[in-house]
Amino acid sequence: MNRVFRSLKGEEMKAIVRLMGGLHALEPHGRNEVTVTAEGLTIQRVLERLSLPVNYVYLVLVNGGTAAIEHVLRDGDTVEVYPPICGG
Amino acid sequence: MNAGYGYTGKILLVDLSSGTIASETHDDVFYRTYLGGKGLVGYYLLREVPPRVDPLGPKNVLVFATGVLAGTNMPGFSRVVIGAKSPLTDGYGESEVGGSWGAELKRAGFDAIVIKGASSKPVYLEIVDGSARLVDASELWGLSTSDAEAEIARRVPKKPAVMSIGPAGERLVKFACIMQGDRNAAGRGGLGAVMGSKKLKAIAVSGSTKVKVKNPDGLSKVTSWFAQNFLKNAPSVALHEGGTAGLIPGLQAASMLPTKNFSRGRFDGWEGLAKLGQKWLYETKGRGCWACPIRCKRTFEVKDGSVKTINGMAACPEYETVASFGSNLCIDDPLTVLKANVYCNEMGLDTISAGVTIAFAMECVEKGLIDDGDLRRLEVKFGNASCVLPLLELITDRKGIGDLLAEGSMRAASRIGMGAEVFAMHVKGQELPMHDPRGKTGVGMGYALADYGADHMTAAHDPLFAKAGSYGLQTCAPLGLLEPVDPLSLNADKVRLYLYLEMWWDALKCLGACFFCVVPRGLLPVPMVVEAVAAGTGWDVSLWEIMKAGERAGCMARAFNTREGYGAERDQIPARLFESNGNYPGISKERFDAAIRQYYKMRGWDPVSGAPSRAKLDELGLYWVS
Repeated sequence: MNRVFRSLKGEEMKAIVRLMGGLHALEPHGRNEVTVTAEGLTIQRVLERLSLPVNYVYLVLVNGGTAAIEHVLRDGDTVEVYPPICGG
Repeated sequence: MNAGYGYTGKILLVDLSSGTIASETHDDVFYRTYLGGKGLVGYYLLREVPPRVDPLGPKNVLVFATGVLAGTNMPGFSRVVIGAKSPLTDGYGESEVGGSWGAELKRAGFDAIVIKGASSKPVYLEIVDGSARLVDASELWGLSTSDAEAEIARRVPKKPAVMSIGPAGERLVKFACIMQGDRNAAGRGGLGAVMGSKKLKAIAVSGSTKVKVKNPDGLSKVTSWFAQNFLKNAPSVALHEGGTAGLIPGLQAASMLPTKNFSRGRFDGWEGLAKLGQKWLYETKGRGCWACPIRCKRTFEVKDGSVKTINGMAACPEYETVASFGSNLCIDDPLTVLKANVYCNEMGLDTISAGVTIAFAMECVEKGLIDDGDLRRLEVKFGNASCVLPLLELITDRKGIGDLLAEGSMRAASRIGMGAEVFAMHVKGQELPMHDPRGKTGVGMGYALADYGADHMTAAHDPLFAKAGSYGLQTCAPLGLLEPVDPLSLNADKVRLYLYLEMWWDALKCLGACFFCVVPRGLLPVPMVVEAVAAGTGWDVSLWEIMKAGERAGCMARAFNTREGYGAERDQIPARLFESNGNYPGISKERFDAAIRQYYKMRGWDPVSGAPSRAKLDELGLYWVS
């Protein structure tokens, strides 16, 4: 069932997704921050909608804490998505 | 004689004791065997350095070597590998550096320079279009690297690229570096001290002969493809926009940001440091190495006089520097880090070893192991930003406590005693770079096994291979890396992953290639590297042959250490890494040691001593190496 989260006032729930470590180069519009409608979607689904190769993602933070890619977004979440963290 | 495609076939030989300059030539077989870069360094160190010599004595040899595509339009393939017996490790020492010097050397007619002996008075070496001479440098002795470079540039008609040492190298600080320009550092191994011991202030090169390429259209195909695609490649874009300092948020997020002398993996003040990879106080510009469009070397336009600038610009610290003077000292002030970086570049200090040695001193103070007037006066302790610059000055000048710290953390710990050794974060005497192996065990293997002491550039890091379909696996299938490996594992798959990646990176070091330009850290695919080498040289070269050159170079470096009398017993990481960093558990020592032993066996090395076997040396054609 495709659930749609709404606040008490009936507004659509929003989450911010930040594409870190150059991942925005893979986003079709080159955006490094995207506001998405948090329709009870998992982070994986949101990344797929943004046409980002999920396998490139190494680490996901939700509101500063580590989260799985299966995490279901909630209103007001801030998501940071990182590629593999390497040397330099 | 050689056909002269890709390489010049000429090696410059300089004897500083006698003041004589000569050259020797080599043929195709030699170049296909040793390739360049690390391969040439290993060849000449084994051939020219007698066993057990003083690294800071005249019998040590300093080698500067390029790869077969240096000076062409190939982006990222004009790096220089510098080698000598290291005063930090007392073994094989190596450091790589970008910039334009390698390209200039090739265009001046030489693939490499081998420097023997020691001068009785300060000199610099000037190479202009095939001619080389030694020039008195008495007036330059004591100058900072950028001042020396500027003075030399005034004397050479066509603007040269200059490698130079600062006062730290002159005073034989054990972790002195060699600088090329104001931002390219051959930081590791204390090679600046070797140069200082030879009284060689600088090497200026200026060349105007185009490097001959066998198949220019073939090479253009690769370089054009690179130029058209690098902005579609996430790692390249990250470097293009934020430089390596842009790594701070990711490493904090991954709990692998070395903090408080590697005791923790997260630093509360990380956001201050992250500014150095973002838009900050100062406007930034990208600066690049020869022919490279990524231009990852950011510079700040500093107008407020906070730090010394060159043409109004100050080099942005690389990630390694940000962490070593920032999180690892519990310092969150980006301006302190920027100042420390500029100071180290000017004085010729390796920022990694300098920062880690200061962290060691801070911890020794905290634990009550040292009590010294300088340390008290400067209030040397974690989190105190104001003590960093004065400590760096004492180290450079070898004054007071600085004289002890100028020896590096291993030797300082040994002199302090009382258990201080456990706070010295080094392998073989070289300080750890800013990556926490607790979250990526392959990096720990690299620290332990690196022939030149702890370094993060021995192999690509584990996270790239964590998942099926990840960028590392997508791009490294030609190396035989087909399945994911857990970043925390230490099983046979991890050992194999590390081994193949290390051989690939050693091969790239032979080619003088930048890891940021080539997969799996950058864009250029494996087959295109082979294609470029074939186009440049005209060889019917294969990946097999290139990988074998990498394996050979690694084996020569190891053989050098064997000859110096050490092996497995020094392939050890600091005991602290066997304890938790607060987020990751400590590495299992038992499993780690087993992985190292398995690595020896996989490489055809003695499983106990870690020395390359006779059969392996022979298989690689190294009959002459004992």
